[in-house]
Amino acid sequence: MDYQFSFPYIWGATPDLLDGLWITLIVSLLSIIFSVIIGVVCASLRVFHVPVLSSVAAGYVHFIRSTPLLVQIFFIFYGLASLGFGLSGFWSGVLALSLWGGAYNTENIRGGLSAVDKGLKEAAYSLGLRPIHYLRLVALPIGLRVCIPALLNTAVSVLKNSSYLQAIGVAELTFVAMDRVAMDFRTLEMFLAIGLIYLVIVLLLSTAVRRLETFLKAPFNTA
Amino acid sequence: MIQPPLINVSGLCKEFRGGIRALNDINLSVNRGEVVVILGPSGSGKSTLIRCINGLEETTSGEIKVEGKSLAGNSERKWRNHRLEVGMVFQNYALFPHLNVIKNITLAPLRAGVLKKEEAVQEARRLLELVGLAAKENSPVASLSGGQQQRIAICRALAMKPKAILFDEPTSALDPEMVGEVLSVMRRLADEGVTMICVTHEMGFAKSAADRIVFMDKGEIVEEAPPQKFFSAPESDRSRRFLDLISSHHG
Repeated sequence: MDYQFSFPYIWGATPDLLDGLWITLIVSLLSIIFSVIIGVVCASLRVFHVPVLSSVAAGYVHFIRSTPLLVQIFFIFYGLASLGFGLSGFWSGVLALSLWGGAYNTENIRGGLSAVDKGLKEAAYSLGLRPIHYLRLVALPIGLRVCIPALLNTAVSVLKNSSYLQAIGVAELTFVAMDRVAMDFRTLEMFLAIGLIYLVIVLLLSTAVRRLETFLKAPFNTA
Repeated sequence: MIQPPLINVSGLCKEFRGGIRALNDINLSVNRGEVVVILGPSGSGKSTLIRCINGLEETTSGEIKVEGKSLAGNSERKWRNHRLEVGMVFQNYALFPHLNVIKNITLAPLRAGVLKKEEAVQEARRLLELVGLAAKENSPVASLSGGQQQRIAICRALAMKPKAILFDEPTSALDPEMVGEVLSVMRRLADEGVTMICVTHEMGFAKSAADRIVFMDKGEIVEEAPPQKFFSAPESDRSRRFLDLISSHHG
Protein backbone atom coordinates (compact mmCIF):
# COMPACT_ATOMS: atom_id res chain seq x y z
CA MET A 1 0.00 0.00 0.00
CA ASP A 2 1.95 2.95 -1.18
CA TYR A 3 -1.04 4.95 -2.42
CA GLN A 4 -0.71 8.48 -1.02
CA PHE A 5 -4.05 10.20 -0.50
CA SER A 6 -3.69 13.76 -1.71
CA PHE A 7 -5.96 16.56 -0.54
CA PRO A 8 -4.11 19.11 -2.66
CA TYR A 9 -5.08 17.04 -5.70
CA ILE A 10 -8.79 17.46 -4.89
CA TRP A 11 -8.19 21.14 -4.30
CA GLY A 12 -6.55 21.44 -7.70
CA ALA A 13 -9.47 19.69 -9.37
CA THR A 14 -12.03 22.03 -7.82
CA PRO A 15 -12.57 24.28 -10.86
CA ASP A 16 -13.33 21.22 -13.04
CA LEU A 17 -15.59 19.75 -10.36
CA LEU A 18 -17.51 23.01 -10.05
CA ASP A 19 -18.10 23.04 -13.83
CA GLY A 20 -19.45 19.49 -13.55
CA LEU A 21 -21.53 20.33 -10.51
CA TRP A 22 -23.11 23.21 -12.38
CA ILE A 23 -24.20 20.91 -15.25
CA THR A 24 -25.46 18.32 -12.76
CA LEU A 25 -27.54 20.95 -10.98
CA ILE A 26 -29.02 22.39 -14.18
CA VAL A 27 -29.86 18.98 -15.67
CA SER A 28 -31.37 17.81 -12.38
CA LEU A 29 -33.37 20.95 -11.76
CA LEU A 30 -34.89 20.92 -15.25
CA SER A 31 -35.60 17.18 -15.05
CA ILE A 32 -37.20 17.44 -11.61
CA ILE A 33 -39.47 20.26 -12.77
CA PHE A 34 -40.49 18.44 -15.95
CA SER A 35 -40.95 15.15 -14.10
CA VAL A 36 -43.39 16.77 -11.66
CA ILE A 37 -45.34 18.33 -14.53
CA ILE A 38 -45.48 14.98 -16.36
CA GLY A 39 -46.53 13.32 -13.12
CA VAL A 40 -49.35 15.80 -12.49
CA VAL A 41 -50.71 15.44 -16.03
CA CYS A 42 -50.49 11.65 -16.23
CA ALA A 43 -51.80 11.09 -12.69
CA SER A 44 -54.79 13.35 -13.44
CA LEU A 45 -55.52 11.42 -16.63
CA ARG A 46 -55.38 8.18 -14.64
CA VAL A 47 -57.48 9.36 -11.70
CA PHE A 48 -60.21 10.85 -13.89
CA HIS A 49 -60.22 7.79 -16.16
CA VAL A 50 -59.89 9.95 -19.28
CA PRO A 51 -60.66 7.62 -22.17
CA VAL A 52 -57.63 6.41 -24.21
CA LEU A 53 -55.20 8.88 -22.59
CA SER A 54 -55.51 7.11 -19.24
CA SER A 55 -54.35 3.86 -20.85
CA VAL A 56 -51.54 5.67 -22.68
CA ALA A 57 -50.34 7.06 -19.34
CA ALA A 58 -50.55 3.62 -17.73
CA GLY A 59 -48.54 2.08 -20.59
CA TYR A 60 -45.91 4.80 -20.37
CA VAL A 61 -45.46 4.25 -16.64
CA HIS A 62 -45.22 0.51 -17.14
CA PHE A 63 -42.66 0.85 -19.93
CA ILE A 64 -40.40 3.22 -17.99
CA ARG A 65 -40.51 1.21 -14.81
CA SER A 66 -39.76 -2.05 -16.60
CA THR A 67 -36.67 -0.95 -18.52
CA PRO A 68 -33.26 0.19 -17.25
CA LEU A 69 -32.67 3.91 -17.20
CA LEU A 70 -29.39 3.49 -19.07
CA VAL A 71 -31.23 1.76 -21.92
CA GLN A 72 -33.72 4.64 -22.02
CA ILE A 73 -30.87 7.17 -22.15
CA PHE A 74 -29.16 5.30 -25.01
CA PHE A 75 -32.46 4.89 -26.83
CA ILE A 76 -33.11 8.62 -26.73
CA PHE A 77 -29.54 9.71 -27.51
CA TYR A 78 -28.56 7.13 -30.15
CA GLY A 79 -31.91 5.64 -31.15
CA LEU A 80 -33.70 8.89 -31.89
CA ALA A 81 -30.63 10.23 -33.69
CA SER A 82 -30.75 7.33 -36.12
CA LEU A 83 -34.39 8.21 -36.80
CA GLY A 84 -33.34 11.77 -37.58
CA PHE A 85 -34.50 13.36 -34.30
CA GLY A 86 -31.04 13.85 -32.91
CA LEU A 87 -30.88 15.75 -29.62
CA SER A 88 -27.73 17.04 -27.92
CA GLY A 89 -26.40 15.02 -25.01
CA PHE A 90 -27.66 17.66 -22.60
CA TRP A 91 -31.25 17.63 -23.89
CA SER A 92 -31.28 13.86 -24.37
CA GLY A 93 -30.33 13.64 -20.73
CA VAL A 94 -33.00 16.07 -19.59
CA LEU A 95 -35.60 14.24 -21.66
CA ALA A 96 -34.60 10.79 -20.39
CA LEU A 97 -34.49 11.84 -16.74
CA SER A 98 -37.77 13.76 -17.04
CA LEU A 99 -39.56 10.78 -18.56
CA TRP A 100 -38.03 8.47 -15.99
CA GLY A 101 -38.93 10.68 -13.01
CA GLY A 102 -42.29 11.49 -14.60
CA ALA A 103 -43.29 7.83 -14.55
CA TYR A 104 -42.49 7.49 -10.88
CA ASN A 105 -44.16 10.80 -10.08
CA THR A 106 -47.28 9.66 -11.92
CA GLU A 107 -47.60 6.86 -9.40
CA ASN A 108 -46.64 9.13 -6.49
CA ILE A 109 -49.22 11.76 -7.40
CA ARG A 110 -51.86 9.18 -8.26
CA GLY A 111 -51.44 7.94 -4.70
CA GLY A 112 -51.76 11.48 -3.37
CA LEU A 113 -54.88 12.19 -5.41
CA SER A 114 -56.59 8.99 -4.30
CA ALA A 115 -55.87 9.94 -0.70
CA VAL A 116 -58.07 13.04 -1.09
CA ASP A 117 -61.34 12.49 0.78
CA LYS A 118 -64.09 11.42 -1.62
CA GLY A 119 -66.48 13.72 0.23
CA LEU A 120 -64.54 16.75 -1.01
CA LYS A 121 -65.18 15.73 -4.61
CA GLU A 122 -68.88 15.41 -3.90
CA ALA A 123 -68.87 18.75 -2.11
CA ALA A 124 -67.10 20.39 -5.05
CA TYR A 125 -69.47 18.86 -7.59
CA SER A 126 -72.51 19.71 -5.49
CA LEU A 127 -71.32 23.34 -5.60
CA GLY A 128 -71.32 23.19 -9.38
CA LEU A 129 -67.53 23.13 -9.83
CA ARG A 130 -66.27 21.58 -13.04
CA PRO A 131 -64.03 18.51 -12.76
CA ILE A 132 -61.06 20.59 -13.95
CA HIS A 133 -61.70 23.16 -11.23
CA TYR A 134 -62.06 20.44 -8.65
CA LEU A 135 -58.73 19.02 -9.81
CA ARG A 136 -56.89 22.32 -9.86
CA LEU A 137 -58.38 24.00 -6.79
CA VAL A 138 -59.08 21.10 -4.45
CA ALA A 139 -57.59 17.73 -5.40
CA LEU A 140 -54.10 18.81 -6.49
CA PRO A 141 -53.44 21.28 -3.64
CA ILE A 142 -54.39 18.59 -1.13
CA GLY A 143 -53.05 15.54 -2.97
CA LEU A 144 -49.67 17.10 -3.76
CA ARG A 145 -49.16 18.00 -0.11
CA VAL A 146 -49.80 14.38 0.80
CA CYS A 147 -47.20 13.04 -1.62
CA ILE A 148 -44.39 15.53 -0.98
CA PRO A 149 -42.19 12.87 0.71
CA ALA A 150 -42.63 10.55 -2.28
CA LEU A 151 -41.92 13.40 -4.72
CA LEU A 152 -38.75 14.23 -2.79
CA ASN A 153 -37.68 10.61 -3.00
CA THR A 154 -38.05 10.63 -6.79
CA ALA A 155 -36.34 14.03 -7.07
CA VAL A 156 -33.33 12.67 -5.15
CA SER A 157 -33.23 9.67 -7.48
CA VAL A 158 -33.37 11.92 -10.55
CA LEU A 159 -30.49 13.95 -9.18
CA LYS A 160 -28.35 10.90 -8.44
CA ASN A 161 -29.25 9.23 -11.73
CA SER A 162 -27.99 12.26 -13.61
CA SER A 163 -24.59 10.58 -13.18
CA TYR A 164 -25.66 8.04 -15.83
CA LEU A 165 -25.44 10.87 -18.33
CA GLN A 166 -21.65 10.56 -18.33
CA ALA A 167 -22.29 7.55 -20.61
CA ILE A 168 -23.46 9.87 -23.40
CA GLY A 169 -20.77 12.46 -22.76
CA VAL A 170 -22.66 15.07 -20.80
CA ALA A 171 -19.98 16.92 -18.81
CA GLU A 172 -21.69 16.60 -15.45
CA LEU A 173 -20.04 15.83 -12.13
CA THR A 174 -19.38 12.10 -12.65
CA PHE A 175 -18.14 12.70 -16.20
CA VAL A 176 -15.65 15.27 -14.93
CA ALA A 177 -14.41 12.89 -12.25
CA MET A 178 -13.99 10.04 -14.76
CA ASP A 179 -12.15 12.40 -17.05
CA ARG A 180 -9.70 13.41 -14.33
CA VAL A 181 -9.25 9.80 -13.27
CA ALA A 182 -8.44 8.81 -16.84
CA MET A 183 -5.67 11.41 -16.88
CA ASP A 184 -4.23 11.10 -13.38
CA PHE A 185 -5.48 7.79 -11.91
CA ARG A 186 -6.43 9.59 -8.69
CA THR A 187 -9.47 7.33 -8.27
CA LEU A 188 -9.84 7.51 -4.51
CA GLU A 189 -9.65 11.32 -4.34
CA MET A 190 -12.00 11.92 -7.23
CA PHE A 191 -14.74 9.47 -6.30
CA LEU A 192 -14.60 10.45 -2.65
CA ALA A 193 -14.91 14.09 -3.66
CA ILE A 194 -17.90 13.65 -5.95
CA GLY A 195 -19.52 11.27 -3.47
CA LEU A 196 -19.37 13.98 -0.83
CA ILE A 197 -20.67 16.59 -3.28
CA TYR A 198 -23.69 14.41 -4.16
CA LEU A 199 -24.28 13.81 -0.45
CA VAL A 200 -24.28 17.53 0.30
CA ILE A 201 -26.67 18.50 -2.51
CA VAL A 202 -29.10 15.72 -1.59
CA LEU A 203 -29.01 16.88 2.04
CA LEU A 204 -29.68 20.46 0.97
CA LEU A 205 -32.54 19.39 -1.30
CA SER A 206 -34.10 17.24 1.44
CA THR A 207 -33.90 20.01 4.00
CA ALA A 208 -35.45 22.54 1.62
CA VAL A 209 -38.33 20.18 0.75
CA ARG A 210 -38.95 19.34 4.41
CA ARG A 211 -39.19 23.05 5.22
CA LEU A 212 -41.62 23.46 2.34
CA GLU A 213 -43.69 20.54 3.61
CA THR A 214 -43.95 21.99 7.12
CA PHE A 215 -44.95 25.35 5.68
CA LEU A 216 -47.59 23.87 3.35
CA LYS A 217 -49.09 21.62 5.99
CA ALA A 218 -49.47 24.38 8.56
CA PRO A 219 -53.16 25.06 7.77
CA PHE A 220 -54.00 21.39 8.33
CA ASN A 221 -52.80 21.33 11.92
CA THR A 222 -55.53 21.77 14.46
CA ALA A 223 -54.82 24.65 16.79
CA MET B 1 -101.57 29.70 -13.57
CA ILE B 2 -100.50 27.26 -10.89
CA GLN B 3 -96.81 27.35 -10.15
CA PRO B 4 -95.12 24.00 -10.65
CA PRO B 5 -93.46 22.54 -7.55
CA LEU B 6 -89.85 23.62 -7.13
CA ILE B 7 -88.62 20.05 -7.02
CA ASN B 8 -90.60 17.18 -8.41
CA VAL B 9 -89.48 13.57 -8.23
CA SER B 10 -91.56 10.99 -10.03
CA GLY B 11 -91.19 7.24 -10.29
CA LEU B 12 -87.60 7.40 -9.10
CA CYS B 13 -85.82 4.07 -8.75
CA LYS B 14 -82.24 3.50 -7.78
CA GLU B 15 -80.49 0.20 -7.90
CA PHE B 16 -76.89 -0.12 -6.80
CA ARG B 17 -74.51 -2.46 -8.54
CA GLY B 18 -75.15 -5.92 -7.26
CA GLY B 19 -78.89 -5.44 -7.57
CA ILE B 20 -79.53 -3.81 -4.21
CA ARG B 21 -82.63 -1.71 -4.62
CA ALA B 22 -82.18 1.46 -2.58
CA LEU B 23 -85.15 3.42 -3.87
CA ASN B 24 -88.36 2.08 -5.28
CA ASP B 25 -90.83 4.28 -7.17
CA ILE B 26 -90.34 7.47 -5.17
CA ASN B 27 -92.78 10.31 -5.84
CA LEU B 28 -92.15 13.53 -4.02
CA SER B 29 -92.80 17.16 -4.71
CA VAL B 30 -91.50 20.08 -2.76
CA ASN B 31 -92.95 23.56 -3.08
CA ARG B 32 -91.10 26.83 -2.90
CA GLY B 33 -90.44 27.78 0.72
CA GLU B 34 -91.39 24.39 2.04
CA VAL B 35 -89.35 22.56 4.68
CA VAL B 36 -89.53 18.82 4.19
CA VAL B 37 -87.95 16.52 6.76
CA ILE B 38 -87.25 12.95 5.73
CA LEU B 39 -87.30 10.45 8.57
CA GLY B 40 -86.76 6.74 8.60
CA PRO B 41 -84.59 3.94 9.95
CA SER B 42 -81.03 3.65 8.67
CA GLY B 43 -80.81 1.91 5.33
CA SER B 44 -84.24 3.19 4.33
CA GLY B 45 -82.87 5.19 1.39
CA LYS B 46 -83.20 8.71 2.84
CA SER B 47 -79.68 9.77 2.04
CA THR B 48 -79.72 8.03 -1.32
CA LEU B 49 -82.85 9.99 -2.24
CA ILE B 50 -81.34 13.38 -1.60
CA ARG B 51 -78.06 12.34 -3.17
CA CYS B 52 -80.05 11.45 -6.29
CA ILE B 53 -81.75 14.84 -6.19
CA ASN B 54 -78.30 16.46 -6.10
CA GLY B 55 -77.01 14.22 -8.88
CA LEU B 56 -74.37 12.55 -6.75
CA GLU B 57 -75.93 9.20 -7.58
CA GLU B 58 -77.04 8.13 -11.03
CA THR B 59 -80.67 7.19 -11.07
CA THR B 60 -81.85 3.88 -12.50
CA SER B 61 -85.21 5.16 -13.73
CA GLY B 62 -87.69 7.91 -13.06
CA GLU B 63 -87.52 11.64 -13.38
CA ILE B 64 -86.31 14.59 -11.33
CA LYS B 65 -87.53 18.06 -12.26
CA VAL B 66 -86.49 21.42 -10.91
CA GLU B 67 -88.95 24.21 -11.72
CA GLY B 68 -90.55 21.96 -14.28
CA LYS B 69 -87.28 21.36 -16.15
CA SER B 70 -86.51 17.70 -16.46
CA LEU B 71 -83.07 16.28 -15.98
CA ALA B 72 -83.69 13.42 -18.35
CA GLY B 73 -80.69 12.82 -20.54
CA ASN B 74 -78.41 13.50 -17.61
CA SER B 75 -75.68 15.34 -19.50
CA GLU B 76 -72.83 16.50 -17.30
CA ARG B 77 -73.51 20.16 -18.07
CA LYS B 78 -77.19 19.80 -17.27
CA TRP B 79 -76.28 18.31 -13.95
CA ARG B 80 -73.88 21.13 -13.23
CA ASN B 81 -76.59 23.70 -13.91
CA HIS B 82 -78.95 21.71 -11.76
CA ARG B 83 -76.47 21.60 -8.91
CA LEU B 84 -76.14 25.37 -9.11
CA GLU B 85 -79.81 25.54 -8.17
CA VAL B 86 -79.80 22.93 -5.43
CA GLY B 87 -77.21 23.19 -2.65
CA MET B 88 -76.12 20.39 -0.39
CA VAL B 89 -74.85 20.14 3.18
CA PHE B 90 -73.08 16.92 4.14
CA GLN B 91 -72.84 14.93 7.33
CA ASN B 92 -69.06 15.38 7.51
CA TYR B 93 -69.09 19.07 6.49
CA ALA B 94 -66.59 18.34 3.68
CA LEU B 95 -64.98 21.77 3.93
CA PHE B 96 -61.86 22.27 1.81
CA PRO B 97 -59.10 21.80 4.40
CA HIS B 98 -56.42 23.77 2.55
CA LEU B 99 -58.49 26.95 2.35
CA ASN B 100 -59.45 29.35 5.11
CA VAL B 101 -63.05 30.01 6.05
CA ILE B 102 -63.85 32.80 3.63
CA LYS B 103 -62.15 31.10 0.69
CA ASN B 104 -64.20 27.99 1.32
CA ILE B 105 -67.31 30.11 0.89
CA THR B 106 -66.20 32.21 -2.09
CA LEU B 107 -64.49 29.45 -4.12
CA ALA B 108 -67.55 28.11 -5.93
CA PRO B 109 -69.42 31.39 -6.58
CA LEU B 110 -66.24 32.83 -8.14
CA ARG B 111 -65.51 29.77 -10.28
CA ALA B 112 -69.07 29.32 -11.44
CA GLY B 113 -69.22 33.00 -12.31
CA VAL B 114 -72.22 33.54 -10.04
CA LEU B 115 -70.60 36.48 -8.25
CA LYS B 116 -67.74 38.92 -8.73
CA LYS B 117 -64.83 38.98 -6.30
CA GLU B 118 -66.01 41.85 -4.05
CA GLU B 119 -69.62 40.70 -4.17
CA ALA B 120 -68.58 37.19 -3.22
CA VAL B 121 -66.50 38.41 -0.28
CA GLN B 122 -69.31 40.71 0.86
CA GLU B 123 -71.87 37.94 0.57
CA ALA B 124 -69.60 35.55 2.47
CA ARG B 125 -69.21 38.10 5.27
CA ARG B 126 -72.97 38.59 5.42
CA LEU B 127 -73.49 34.83 5.68
CA LEU B 128 -70.80 34.45 8.35
CA GLU B 129 -72.54 37.19 10.30
CA LEU B 130 -75.81 35.27 9.93
CA VAL B 131 -74.36 32.09 11.44
CA GLY B 132 -72.44 33.98 14.13
CA LEU B 133 -68.94 33.30 12.83
CA ALA B 134 -67.92 36.69 11.47
CA ALA B 135 -64.76 36.63 13.61
CA LYS B 136 -63.52 33.40 12.00
CA GLU B 137 -63.26 34.78 8.47
CA ASN B 138 -59.52 34.10 8.12
CA SER B 139 -59.22 31.02 10.31
CA PRO B 140 -58.02 27.74 8.82
CA VAL B 141 -60.96 25.33 8.90
CA ALA B 142 -59.00 22.73 10.89
CA SER B 143 -58.97 25.11 13.85
CA LEU B 144 -62.78 25.17 14.09
CA SER B 145 -65.08 22.87 16.03
CA GLY B 146 -67.44 20.50 14.22
CA GLY B 147 -70.42 22.73 14.85
CA GLN B 148 -68.58 25.74 13.51
CA GLN B 149 -67.42 23.80 10.45
CA GLN B 150 -70.96 22.69 9.71
CA ARG B 151 -72.21 26.28 9.97
CA ILE B 152 -69.48 27.30 7.51
CA ALA B 153 -70.60 24.48 5.21
CA ILE B 154 -74.12 25.89 5.33
CA CYS B 155 -72.74 29.32 4.38
CA ARG B 156 -70.83 27.70 1.53
CA ALA B 157 -74.01 26.17 0.15
CA LEU B 158 -75.98 29.40 0.62
CA ALA B 159 -73.34 31.48 -1.17
CA MET B 160 -74.35 29.86 -4.46
CA LYS B 161 -77.82 31.33 -3.95
CA PRO B 162 -79.49 27.96 -4.49
CA LYS B 163 -83.24 27.65 -4.84
CA ALA B 164 -83.27 24.80 -2.35
CA ILE B 165 -80.83 23.23 0.09
CA LEU B 166 -80.52 19.54 0.82
CA PHE B 167 -79.25 18.52 4.25
CA ASP B 168 -77.85 15.02 4.61
CA GLU B 169 -77.84 14.29 8.35
CA PRO B 170 -76.13 17.58 9.11
CA THR B 171 -75.84 17.01 12.86
CA SER B 172 -75.07 13.28 12.99
CA ALA B 173 -71.30 13.70 13.19
CA LEU B 174 -71.44 16.42 15.83
CA ASP B 175 -70.75 16.29 19.52
CA PRO B 176 -74.10 16.65 21.35
CA GLU B 177 -73.39 20.14 22.65
CA MET B 178 -72.85 21.42 19.11
CA VAL B 179 -76.05 20.11 17.61
CA GLY B 180 -78.06 23.05 18.88
CA GLU B 181 -76.00 25.75 17.17
CA VAL B 182 -76.38 24.07 13.78
CA LEU B 183 -80.09 23.38 14.20
CA SER B 184 -80.74 26.98 15.20
CA VAL B 185 -79.11 28.16 11.97
CA MET B 186 -81.26 25.72 10.02
CA ARG B 187 -84.38 26.80 11.88
CA ARG B 188 -83.59 30.39 11.03
CA LEU B 189 -83.25 29.54 7.34
CA ALA B 190 -86.55 27.71 7.49
CA ASP B 191 -88.19 30.79 9.02
CA GLU B 192 -86.73 32.93 6.26
CA GLY B 193 -88.48 30.80 3.68
CA VAL B 194 -85.52 28.85 2.30
CA THR B 195 -86.72 25.66 0.63
CA MET B 196 -85.17 22.71 2.43
CA ILE B 197 -85.15 18.96 2.26
CA CYS B 198 -83.57 17.60 5.36
CA VAL B 199 -82.61 14.08 6.33
CA THR B 200 -82.17 14.03 10.08
CA HIS B 201 -82.67 12.10 13.27
CA GLU B 202 -83.39 15.25 15.25
CA MET B 203 -87.04 14.77 16.14
CA GLY B 204 -87.27 18.10 17.94
CA PHE B 205 -86.21 19.90 14.80
CA ALA B 206 -88.58 17.81 12.68
CA LYS B 207 -91.50 18.65 14.96
CA SER B 208 -90.88 22.36 15.17
CA ALA B 209 -89.38 23.33 11.81
CA ALA B 210 -90.87 20.97 9.24
CA ASP B 211 -93.90 21.77 7.12
CA ARG B 212 -94.12 18.14 6.17
CA ILE B 213 -92.64 14.86 7.32
CA VAL B 214 -91.79 12.20 4.78
CA PHE B 215 -91.32 8.81 6.38
CA MET B 216 -89.31 6.26 4.43
CA ASP B 217 -88.65 2.59 4.96
CA LYS B 218 -86.99 0.01 2.71
CA GLY B 219 -86.57 2.43 -0.17
CA GLU B 220 -90.17 3.54 -0.25
CA ILE B 221 -92.13 6.51 1.04
CA VAL B 222 -94.45 5.01 3.62
CA GLU B 223 -96.19 8.11 4.86
CA GLU B 224 -96.33 11.85 4.26
CA ALA B 225 -97.97 14.09 6.81
CA PRO B 226 -97.65 17.42 8.61
CA PRO B 227 -95.51 17.01 11.75
CA GLN B 228 -98.39 17.47 14.24
CA LYS B 229 -100.26 14.64 12.61
CA PHE B 230 -97.24 12.41 12.03
CA PHE B 231 -96.00 12.57 15.59
CA SER B 232 -99.39 12.32 17.31
CA ALA B 233 -101.36 10.04 15.03
CA PRO B 234 -99.19 8.26 12.45
CA GLU B 235 -101.19 6.30 9.92
CA SER B 236 -99.02 3.33 9.15
CA ASP B 237 -97.78 0.63 11.49
CA ARG B 238 -94.25 1.11 10.36
CA SER B 239 -94.22 4.79 11.30
CA ARG B 240 -95.74 3.98 14.65
CA ARG B 241 -93.12 1.34 15.37
CA PHE B 242 -90.37 3.79 14.37
CA LEU B 243 -91.75 6.47 16.67
CA ASP B 244 -92.18 3.99 19.54
CA LEU B 245 -88.58 2.89 19.22
CA ILE B 246 -87.35 6.45 19.20
CA SER B 247 -89.44 7.59 22.16
CA SER B 248 -88.45 4.57 24.26
CA HIS B 249 -84.83 5.29 23.38
CA HIS B 250 -85.13 8.92 24.42
CA GLY B 251 -87.01 7.96 27.59
